[in-house]
Amino acid sequence: MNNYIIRRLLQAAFTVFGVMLLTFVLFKFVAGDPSAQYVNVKLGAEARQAWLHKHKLDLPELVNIKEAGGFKWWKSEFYNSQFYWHLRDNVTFQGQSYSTHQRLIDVIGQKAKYSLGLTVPAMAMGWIFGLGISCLVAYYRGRYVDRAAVFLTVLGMCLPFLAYMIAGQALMFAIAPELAWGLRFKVNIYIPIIISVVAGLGGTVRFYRTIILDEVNRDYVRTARAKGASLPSILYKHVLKNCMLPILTQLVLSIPFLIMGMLLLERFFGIPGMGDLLLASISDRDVPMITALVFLTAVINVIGLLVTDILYGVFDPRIRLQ
Amino acid sequence: MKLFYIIATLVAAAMVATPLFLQLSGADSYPVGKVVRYDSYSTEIKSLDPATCGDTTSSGIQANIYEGLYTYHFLKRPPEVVPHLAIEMPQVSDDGLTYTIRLKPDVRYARSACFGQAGTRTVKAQDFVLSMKRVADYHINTGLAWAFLSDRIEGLDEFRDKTQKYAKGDFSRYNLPVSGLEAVDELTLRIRLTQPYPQMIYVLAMSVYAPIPQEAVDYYLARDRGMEIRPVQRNPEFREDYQVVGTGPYILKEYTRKKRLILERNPEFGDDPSVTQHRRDVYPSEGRPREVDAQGNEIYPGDEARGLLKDAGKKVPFIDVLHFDFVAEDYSAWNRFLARQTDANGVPRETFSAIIRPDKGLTDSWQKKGIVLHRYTSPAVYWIVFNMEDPVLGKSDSLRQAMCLAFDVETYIKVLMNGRGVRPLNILPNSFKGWKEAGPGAYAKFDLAAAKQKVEQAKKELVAAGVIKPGQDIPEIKFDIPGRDTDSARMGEFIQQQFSKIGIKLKIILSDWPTLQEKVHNKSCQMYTMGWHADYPDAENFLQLYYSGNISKGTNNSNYSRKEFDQLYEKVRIMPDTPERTAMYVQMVQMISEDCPVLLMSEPESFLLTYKWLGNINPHPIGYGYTKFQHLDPEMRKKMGGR
Repeated sequence: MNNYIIRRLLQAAFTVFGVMLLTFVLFKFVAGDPSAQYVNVKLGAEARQAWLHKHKLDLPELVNIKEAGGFKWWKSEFYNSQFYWHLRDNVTFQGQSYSTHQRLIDVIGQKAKYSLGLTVPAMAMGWIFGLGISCLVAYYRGRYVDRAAVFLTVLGMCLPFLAYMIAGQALMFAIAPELAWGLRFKVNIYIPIIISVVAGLGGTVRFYRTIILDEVNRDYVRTARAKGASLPSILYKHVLKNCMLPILTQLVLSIPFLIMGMLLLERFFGIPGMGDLLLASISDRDVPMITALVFLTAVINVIGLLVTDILYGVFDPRIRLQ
Repeated sequence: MKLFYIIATLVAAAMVATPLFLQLSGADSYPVGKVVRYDSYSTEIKSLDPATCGDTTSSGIQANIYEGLYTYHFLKRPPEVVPHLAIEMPQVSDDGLTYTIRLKPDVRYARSACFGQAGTRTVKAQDFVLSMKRVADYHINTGLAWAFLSDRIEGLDEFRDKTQKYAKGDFSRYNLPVSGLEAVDELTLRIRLTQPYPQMIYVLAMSVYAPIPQEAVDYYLARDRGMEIRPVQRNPEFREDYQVVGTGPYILKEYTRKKRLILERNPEFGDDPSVTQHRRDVYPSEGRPREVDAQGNEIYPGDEARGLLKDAGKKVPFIDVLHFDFVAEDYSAWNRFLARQTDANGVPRETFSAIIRPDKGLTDSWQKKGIVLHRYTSPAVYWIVFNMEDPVLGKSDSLRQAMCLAFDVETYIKVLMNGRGVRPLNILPNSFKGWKEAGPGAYAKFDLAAAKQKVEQAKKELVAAGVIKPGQDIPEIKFDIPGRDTDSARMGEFIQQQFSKIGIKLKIILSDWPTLQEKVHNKSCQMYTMGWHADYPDAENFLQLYYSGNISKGTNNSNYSRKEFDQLYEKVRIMPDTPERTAMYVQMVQMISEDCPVLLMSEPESFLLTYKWLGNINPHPIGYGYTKFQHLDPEMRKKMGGR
């Protein structure tokens, strides 16, 4: 197991380096000059050049042969290039936003709690209600309850998320405007959470129902029924336990991304979280923030996958990681 | 397994209760008796430092906190500069190079820890010297503020060059002398210019040159609230709410990026018993009089008739707290306004025709809700730029004139701008001196027949220039639009249709703003949309966009160059405001109208909705910082279902 983890971490390092290199190349050669966004045209070319110099964007792209006096890779000046600073600032989270001059770590410190305050309860409530309704529906399989539930879940999945949000917010503005936007009161945040849960319930119930029904149709369940055990007790004692593997791995895989927030909900309900940080950074051409977020996402992804693989082994004794 | 379910349930319950532990909510209740105005803003505030202020949102906020030497009269139109922290208008030497300004003796900064035990002190002339030095500081990302001082003040450009040699965190550079900035005594400032600059008075009316106390630099920048920090860690810009030290009617109480901003009354402007000598700014007693046209039709009812003088002579500000919430989505901001959670809002495009009548008044049903409409034009003009160095567009006057004649501006404004604009008649906004006298350009009208004739003429001109062969069509022209959204695409389609009527093919290229800027900088655009919002109420601000000396500076991005125009510009830019100068302005505007380096599209009109409980609303076309004159009736707001 330890060797497996070490190997995966080494692979992760190469993966993340590759992501950073690709990000650098893409932003360098596709995105163009960010100074236009930050230097007022009325200030002229000199101001633009000064801005580029301040942000080290007038250095050579990959290596600094001129400063090193040749291809002298053993000299520190050789690495005084845009790519070096790009890598260094992202790995150490020291890169500063062009527009707010904040570091990503400071931004996370300010905004993460709002995103987590939204996504964590939403995930938990989605899990509780999803599982509960799925068990109920699986118990009444084939009957009106099941058919109605299938119909409603499919309908729920067909409605776009925006529709839930707009309808939900409009309803709140009509009933209790103080709760429809912002975080004036402690309960305000539960409005977008409930909207998120309701909007996602369709897909969640469909997914859990499928897993539970898959398990319910197995031989051991039939045997237990034949021996006289009631379906509720079989569900509770055996079926749910075996369903936990796919359910928990889906949950665990989503945990690292909780910090990234929910873009639409945060924008519509005035929650100052991380949700629109990437989008706002892209529209602002805030390259340090974009690359720092890409780096963070890459690291989260890699660690998330590793943790998921480890948990597979924990939940299912048949699986051994080597 | 049972244990697993119990633990899982407890964990899930704890996760659901997470928001209650994270303390996300911020109660925004205020003490009883405080008059609070609630508002939304959707564009991030980019700057809390006057030296780095360059966008309208930041300017609007900062002007409540910082004050300049001069300001614009709240009510008078056209805009009139009046003393603010200066005691009187500047004394200008006969050669127009030296400005001597005397300060009011009783202006104090808002209380701040940077002043130590005393808590505050009076503003000194040296504070303005420091302010302008900071604007010139190489290490500070000054926005527009530097553009107005560069090449203007004696010794300031050299100072800027010297600051480059200092480390970012070494503020001893502010001790370097600047020959053109002198604190003659504590209350007298002298500014020496490199050449006459009659618009200097407008520059001094910008709050970006608000006084900055040295104590704020020492306490908040050189140290972090008095604690030593290493020079490499120092930032030369004020970026946090606690670092903001101004003289204005409001202080920055709280600022959380993309969440909330709260301004509270500066105790200097209140009745706080701990403050010994309060500032007494009052509501103006004069305003804009009633105006009628030559036929006797009323153009403007007068400020008195509009009720804008009922608070004349009263002490300001009337509102104690300005509470701004950051609302990213227009939909949410609009709903908040309808639910009376905010006091003012713009008119969303989707509901514009349901709220605004064709004559641009508010519909009766909306008036019954207690909502008031305020309509005002901004001193801005939007246009399509022709690159005068382009081998096609630059070689044929007739081609550009044809395109001006073929563009249906009225339909453009009606369809694509919701009617929120007026047709510009020449390159100046309609409130500027010289606009009326210059009159409409010969090609500032819609005339397809004339346009088609011009196209034939254009073909001949292009054949003569060797651009096309006889019998050939005009080549396809590339048109850049800054924006990749649906609105930009619609605009592109509309413009394409306009010119297809006269046989000119356009290729629309949707770019983002930085890409367009780069192409403009490299002169690789043929045509593109642009605009200009006046920095000050003087036609020179628009005429400088066509001066060939500004091509290299980047402000003349049509690359227009005409010797006669340049000669006139070099004369007018150092002339004071006289009828002779206005006559020269008129000549220059008419040259542009004839040569058509731009196709005029619109002068924008803005629409603002407020509730009846908010009074003294008079949007200013140029200046900021007039919230102090606004009046709010909290009892009426409560009765009408507001907060």
